[in-house]
Amino acid sequence: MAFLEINKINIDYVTEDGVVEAVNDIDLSLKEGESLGLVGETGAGKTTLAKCIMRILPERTARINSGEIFYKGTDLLKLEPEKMREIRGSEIAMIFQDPMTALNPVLTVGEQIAEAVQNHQKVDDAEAMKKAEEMLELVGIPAARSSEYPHQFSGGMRQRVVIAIALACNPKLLIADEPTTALDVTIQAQVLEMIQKLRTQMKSSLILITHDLGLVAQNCESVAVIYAGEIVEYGTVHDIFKDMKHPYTVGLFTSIPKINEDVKRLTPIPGNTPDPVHLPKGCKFCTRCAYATEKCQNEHPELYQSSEGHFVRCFLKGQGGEKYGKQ
Amino acid sequence: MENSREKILKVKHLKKYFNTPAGILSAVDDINFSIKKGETLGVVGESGCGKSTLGKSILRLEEPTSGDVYFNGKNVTKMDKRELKQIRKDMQIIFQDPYESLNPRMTVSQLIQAPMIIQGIYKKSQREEMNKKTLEIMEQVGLARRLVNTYPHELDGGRRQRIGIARALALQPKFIVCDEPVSALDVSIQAQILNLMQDLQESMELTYLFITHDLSVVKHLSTRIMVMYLGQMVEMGTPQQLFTNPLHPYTKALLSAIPVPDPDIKMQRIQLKGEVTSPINMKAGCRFAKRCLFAKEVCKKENCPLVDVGQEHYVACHLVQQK
Repeated sequence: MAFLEINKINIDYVTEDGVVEAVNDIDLSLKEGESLGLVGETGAGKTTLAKCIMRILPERTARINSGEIFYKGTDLLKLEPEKMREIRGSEIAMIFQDPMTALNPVLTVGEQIAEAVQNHQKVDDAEAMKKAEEMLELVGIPAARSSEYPHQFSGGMRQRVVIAIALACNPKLLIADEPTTALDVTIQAQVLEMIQKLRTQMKSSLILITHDLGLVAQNCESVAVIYAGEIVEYGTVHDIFKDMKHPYTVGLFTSIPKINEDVKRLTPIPGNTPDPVHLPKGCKFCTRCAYATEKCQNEHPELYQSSEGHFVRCFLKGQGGEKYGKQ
Repeated sequence: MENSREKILKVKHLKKYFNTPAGILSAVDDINFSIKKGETLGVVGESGCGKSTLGKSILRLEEPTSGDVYFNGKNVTKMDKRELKQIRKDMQIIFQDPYESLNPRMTVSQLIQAPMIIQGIYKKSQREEMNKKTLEIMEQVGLARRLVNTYPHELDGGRRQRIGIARALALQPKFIVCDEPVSALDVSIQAQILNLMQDLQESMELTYLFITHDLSVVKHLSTRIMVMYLGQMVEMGTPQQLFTNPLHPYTKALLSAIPVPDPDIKMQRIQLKGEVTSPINMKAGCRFAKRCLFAKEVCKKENCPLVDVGQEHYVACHLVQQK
């Protein structure tokens, strides 16, 4: 069994406007030490999936309808809350998007890292604080600043504190949810290099959630493209970047101005992401796809294997994608 | 060297200082440049480098501390309230956050009509004409007619930003400051808005000052690009000049930090020391010297002037100029 295996997970949010199908039948697996990129736009369900792995979905509104998440052979969704709490933070850790809100403003950064350590390891306060200072040094912040409060740090440094907390217990799986979206490019590069360095040291796996294709290309081995709660394409970083098949994946690439190419005019994906309360019946992308046929509107496509390990959810079997790409 | 096209905007020694408890913060410090009609000047830099303050000072949404801004030959900084109101018809701004820059209690048509009413373009009796004009503008920016009576909260980010653009266009301006207009949008929507802005520029002969932190976007749109660091311009040139031959160490580091969306191209990142600080109580010397890998004694002591190194490629660096 794989290190992490997600089987047919379905998550809904119950809202006043109706049921939002946030994650629909997602299958994913991750090997030990592998880094996977989850790519998609706002509302695609990336964060919902991550929170589901961590089991931190809002209990009142979120509903896990079906599915299993096996971590080293145990189904996380069936674990007792106490058992899950042991795994959360020590085995699986998450880096949140916004370093401005992820930290407690009334605790020093040292205390916050030490707290994470003491939750999982039987150490006294002094030892935990020592570990906290080590972690700070590791992420490039002088240990002397451990007694300072979050507001005394810049955005980039706060994100490094968040990373220090996530890594304090040497997690085997690190989930980074848009870890650098709030940061400037030079700081973003620093932070990602640091995550990669620590990851190799600790041999942990990484799930990187982002909308930035550049970050995925530079940091991930495999990629899952998510649209309206579904995986529309999955493969190695080469499959996705060099041999993309799904019209949505192609559309993402033609939408971004590229630093290494000159394009006079961008080719955007027309329209908007569908209303999650009223998703299209057939292919979820059919309302925006230039190649949609009647079949696409009425039947829901399954993933097909286009080449070894490269899966695409499209009736066109690559024809549409190729046509798109040649435009 | 001088292009035949007229310079629509000239900025001379523009400064904007803020008093803070820690001292004087020089957000914009002695910036000089000009924009030709129909051009897009991209302004890039990291948060806190003063790029938004620069845009606002040009429009006098922030009162500049000193310096001059000439728009079509007229000095904007010397204008009184009445003249300023007149000139604002020609100079508009599109804000970054379409969620916060629109009044939630106004409908789409009210939002678009507000600038026309304020400027007295239409009289009360000309309601019908104004409504007609509103629909015209909505069509221009790709907003469906049926949205005319909706409120901003009913619309998504892309459509809200289209309202922001419609408002700026309502007065048929000649020059628009675009302050991170696509940063809050998803990539597929971002591309739609960028294309729209390019189309409008062509059809209405608009001139843009395009402020962003996204270097790929700025490269895609700009005729020329200005790189700012701690309130000062460190380099300016065409996208070609800047991206193939960056001269300032900061520009080089900035460019090397962009993740390239191609797994076969491995990034060779130039490491920078430390982080961006605030330009408070700045002393003489290059502001980048502390983080620069090549800084020499002279860099820490003397200010570095902006020098043309050929074909209007400007750079402010002692080391480049010594060569």
